[in-house]
Amino acid sequence: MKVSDTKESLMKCICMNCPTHTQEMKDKMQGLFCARGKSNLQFERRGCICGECPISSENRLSGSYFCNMGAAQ
Amino acid sequence: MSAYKSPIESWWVLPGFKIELVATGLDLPVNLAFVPEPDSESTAPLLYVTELYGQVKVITNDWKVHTYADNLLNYEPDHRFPGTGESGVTGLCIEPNTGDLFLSMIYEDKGETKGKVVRTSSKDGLKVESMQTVIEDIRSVKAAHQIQAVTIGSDGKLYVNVGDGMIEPEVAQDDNDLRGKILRINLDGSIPEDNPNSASLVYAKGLRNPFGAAWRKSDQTLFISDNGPNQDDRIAKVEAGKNYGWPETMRQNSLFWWEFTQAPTAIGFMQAGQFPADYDDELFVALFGASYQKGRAIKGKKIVKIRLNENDSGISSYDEFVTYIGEGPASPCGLAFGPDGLYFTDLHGEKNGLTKMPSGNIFRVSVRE
Repeated sequence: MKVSDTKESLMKCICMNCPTHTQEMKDKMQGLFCARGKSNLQFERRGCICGECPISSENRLSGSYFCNMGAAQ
Repeated sequence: MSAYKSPIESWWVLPGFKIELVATGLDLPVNLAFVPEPDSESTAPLLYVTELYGQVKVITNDWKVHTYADNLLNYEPDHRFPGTGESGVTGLCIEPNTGDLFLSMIYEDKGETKGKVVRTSSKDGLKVESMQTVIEDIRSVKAAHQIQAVTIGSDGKLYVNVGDGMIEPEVAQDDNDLRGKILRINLDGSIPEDNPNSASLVYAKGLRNPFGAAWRKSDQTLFISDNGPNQDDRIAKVEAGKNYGWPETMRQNSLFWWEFTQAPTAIGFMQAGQFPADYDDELFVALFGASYQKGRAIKGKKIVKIRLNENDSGISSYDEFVTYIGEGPASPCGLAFGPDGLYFTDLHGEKNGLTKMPSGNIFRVSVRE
């Protein structure tokens, strides 16, 4: 299911709390990758909390690492 | 000014039972462990509780709360829920002969996050006097999937639930890696000769984030809870050498799973007469739900009771036992049977978590006379 890139979704987003979310991502205000697609920055996978996100359960998303794999389809 | 509202008003309990508040003002209380045979004096230790960010509290028979240990973490936790604030000091159990505690926790070592188990000792059980490391150097992260429950079996061995460490789930299948495993350890940290592999601490493998563990005394069997990714949280009976499937599947050798994740945390069997005989050997499971969710929720925030079927291949009944109906972020996390009832912690309490105010509670659920 596609996730809407809305203010409501952004309010629920937990990307900023993720161990994979880098300082550079924070500086560039990157997040909501499940809706907006993958990051254009260099980073390494350091764990994924997408499964804990309310957006994930509300939209029945089954994927993870949307920051690396691209938006949920 | 609003009138004081007791935290017990935030909980629904199964008709025929009542809920009481037995301790409050705790700072992110995680797991509970009762002293197996407590002394009768009012000032003797009755139960211990881990607090996520580095303390262990002891509650005496007079229900006073004391600090048993503090500053157990060697880093500054960041209070991010969900996320990098979810880990810390979690599992605990009591060695029945000495009263020593075994505690699981994470720590930082040269910039890396790792998991360990320590053993603490105290003459009176009220204040830690010495601490020894039992195992350490298990790679981890600060966003869950850490080293979790510790229990002591009837064989006198220490059983340790270890999460997969989140980053490389495939390690759960690697026999040379301790992540994603149930470990079986002599109390001094050495390998028991009768482990499935006499050269390894690994007792069972293929686990993801096995938060809870409980022994069923009637047949001395260990059961665990294990958290799936976006589905298939599960309950499993632990057997020597078995593979529980992660990361390929969360259903292998599981006896029950939730397709819609509920985040099971602590588990416990009713096996000492606290409830009527109809409840004997029923399994009580805390379903935490989202890491920080205010108000009622369809995901978790409840305790359920489960009757396993005769051969432990599935379940024969499932009921909600306690449900959160308040407006705060409280959610059941730790759970243990003690004097006259089932006790549980609510981690954040009504105010904690993001506010950093110690407002965690311990409740007792008992039969309504």
